[in-house]
Amino acid sequence: MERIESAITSAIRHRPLNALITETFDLARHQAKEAIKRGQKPFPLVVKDCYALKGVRATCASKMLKDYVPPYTATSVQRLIDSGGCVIGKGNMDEYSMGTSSALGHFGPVKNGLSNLEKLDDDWVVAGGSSGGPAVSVQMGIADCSIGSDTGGSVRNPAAFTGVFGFKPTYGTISRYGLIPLVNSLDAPSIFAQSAEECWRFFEIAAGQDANDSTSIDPKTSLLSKKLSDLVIGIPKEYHNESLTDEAWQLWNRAANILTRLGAKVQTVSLPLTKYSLICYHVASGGDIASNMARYDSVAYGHRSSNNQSTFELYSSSRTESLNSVVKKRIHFGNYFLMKKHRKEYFERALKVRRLIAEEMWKAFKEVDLLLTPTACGVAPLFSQLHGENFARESDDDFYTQPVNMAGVPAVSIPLGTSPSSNLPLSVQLIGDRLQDRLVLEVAEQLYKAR
Amino acid sequence: MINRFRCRCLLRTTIRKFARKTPIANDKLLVPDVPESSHVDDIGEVPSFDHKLITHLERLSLIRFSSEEAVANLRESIRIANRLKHIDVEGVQPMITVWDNMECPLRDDVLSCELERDEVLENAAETMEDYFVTPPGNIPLGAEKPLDLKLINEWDKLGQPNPPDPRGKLEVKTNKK
Repeated sequence: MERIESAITSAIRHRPLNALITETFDLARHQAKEAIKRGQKPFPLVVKDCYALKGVRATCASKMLKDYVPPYTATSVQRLIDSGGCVIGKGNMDEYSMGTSSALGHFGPVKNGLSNLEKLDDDWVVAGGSSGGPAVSVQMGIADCSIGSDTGGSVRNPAAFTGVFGFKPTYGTISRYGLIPLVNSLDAPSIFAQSAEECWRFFEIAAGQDANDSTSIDPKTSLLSKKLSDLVIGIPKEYHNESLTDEAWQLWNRAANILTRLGAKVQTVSLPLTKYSLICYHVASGGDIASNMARYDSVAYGHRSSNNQSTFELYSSSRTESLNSVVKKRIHFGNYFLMKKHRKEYFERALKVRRLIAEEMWKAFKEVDLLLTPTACGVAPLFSQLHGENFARESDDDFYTQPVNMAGVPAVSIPLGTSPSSNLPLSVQLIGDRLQDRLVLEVAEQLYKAR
Repeated sequence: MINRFRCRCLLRTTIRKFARKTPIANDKLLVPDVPESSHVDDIGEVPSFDHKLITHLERLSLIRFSSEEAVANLRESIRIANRLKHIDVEGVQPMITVWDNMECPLRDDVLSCELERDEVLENAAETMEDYFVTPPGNIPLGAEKPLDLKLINEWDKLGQPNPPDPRGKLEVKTNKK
C-alpha cells in the first residue's frame, strides 16, 4: 500500500510535468486492496491513454475522444492489474500516437522531469514521444511500470529522453486488444521500467496469445542459452549517419567496448536499406492511419459537431474541429496514397519495400545474435529548439528506432550514460531477432550493470 | 560576397556533420567513426494541385484542409514518398504482417454477448429511442471556399511555415476519478 501512496504523492507533486491526462488515485487504492487480498504485492502502473480501461476515459490526447469512456479493458492492462498493477492514471501522449515529442496533444504537452521547473511555462526539455507521459511517470516514481505503444519508436524514444528502460517486444507477443490502433501491423504494446529485469517481469505478465487478438502469439520465455562470450554483436554502420551527435556516438562505442570486455565479439554489419525505412513507414502507415481514423465519425462516440446539414457535413466538421494538424495531415496523405490511381505506385510499393527492409534485418541475425545502435541522435532537445526547426528533429530521431518495427523484432533502449555537457540522459539500443525477447533483456541487464 | 559566405557556412556545416568521431579515452574504436550519409535524392515530379483534387481528398478523408500550408505539406509528403522509387521491387510480394508465414489461429464459433445495449449507446452524443442519429445522407460533401493554388504549388518560394505551438494556450484541466 505504501508504494501506491508514494506513487500518488509523486503524481501530485509532479503535476506541472503534465504526465497524466486522467488521475485514478481511488481506483489505484481499491486495486491495491484487492491485490493484497489475493496475496500479491501491489505496484503502481500508468497506462498510456490509448488503452481501454473500463469506466475511465480513454482520450488518445485528442479532443475527438475527450469524453469517451470505454466499456471494456484492454487485455494487456487487465493482465497487469490481475498481477497487482494499480492504475495511478492514464498517461499523456502525442495525439493518437502520432509524433515523437508528446507536445501537441489536446491536454497540453508532457514535460521531461529534467526540465528547469522555474521556466516550465515558457520552455521545457522534451519528454519524447509518443508515449511521453508513461515515460515521465516511471522517471519520476509515479509508476514502477508503464505500458505504452511503440509503432516507430514511441516507447524507446521517450525512454531514451527520460533515462529509463523502454522495451518493445516481438510484434504480437503482447495482445493489441484494447489498444486504439495506429498501424495494426506495426503497433507493439511496450513496457517502461527502471531496469531490464523489471521490463522482463512485467512483459511476462502481459504477454501471451489472446483469443481477442488474432495477431497475438506466445513469447519464448526460456533462459539465456548462450553465454555472453558465445555472442556476436553486430554494429550496423548505416546507423552512424550525419545526424548522430558526438556524445551519442561515443556512448555507442563505449557500449561496444563494455560488451567486448564482458566477452562478446563485436563486428560491423551493413543494412543498406536503413535510410529508406522512415520513408517506407511514412507511406505504409499513412494508408493504415487513413483507414483506422475513418471510424471517428461522431455517431457512436467522439466529438460531434453542431453542423447538421448532411451526414458528410457532420462527419467532416466533427473531424476537422477535433483532430490536431498532425493527425489531419497523415489522414490526408494516407488517402492520397490509397487513391485508385496512386495505390500501386505508392502504397503497394511501400509494402514491398517493407518486406525488403524486414528481410534485410532478419538476414543480419543469421550472422550476429544482437544489433547495437544508438536510440536517438543525441540528448532530448528543448521544446523551443524543436519548434524552431519545425519539428525536423523528430524525423532525425525516428531514424534509429523505426526499422525495428518494420521487422517486428524486439528492441530495448538502455539509459547507459549521461551527456557531460547537458547532464541529460543518453541511451543505446539492443535489437534481437524475432522471439529473442529474453536474450535482448538479459544482455541489456549485463551491459547496464557493467557500465 | 554574401553568397560566398553562405557557401563557406554550408561547407563548414557539412564538414562538421561528416567529421570523424573520437572515442572516449581508453575506448577502442569498435563503431565505424566516419558517418555515412542517410540522404536520399528526390526523384520524379510532384504534381501541381487543382481545386478538383483538393475537394476530392476532402471527400475521401472527410476532413477539410485548414489552409494552403496543409495542402503544401501534402505535396511535401508526396515528394518524400517518391524517394521509394529508387528501390527495385520487381518480383517482391507486399508484406501485410511480419507473421505471414504463420497459421492464423481460429476461435470456436461460440456466441458471446459482450456488451449490453446501454454500454453500446452510452458514448454517443445523440441517440433517439436506442438508435444512433444522423442527419440526411447521400449528399456529397460540398467544396469549400477555394484555396490559393499558386501559394500551394509554389510553397517552397512563397510559403511561411507556421509550426503548431502549445505554449500560451489555456491548460485543459485533467479529471480526477
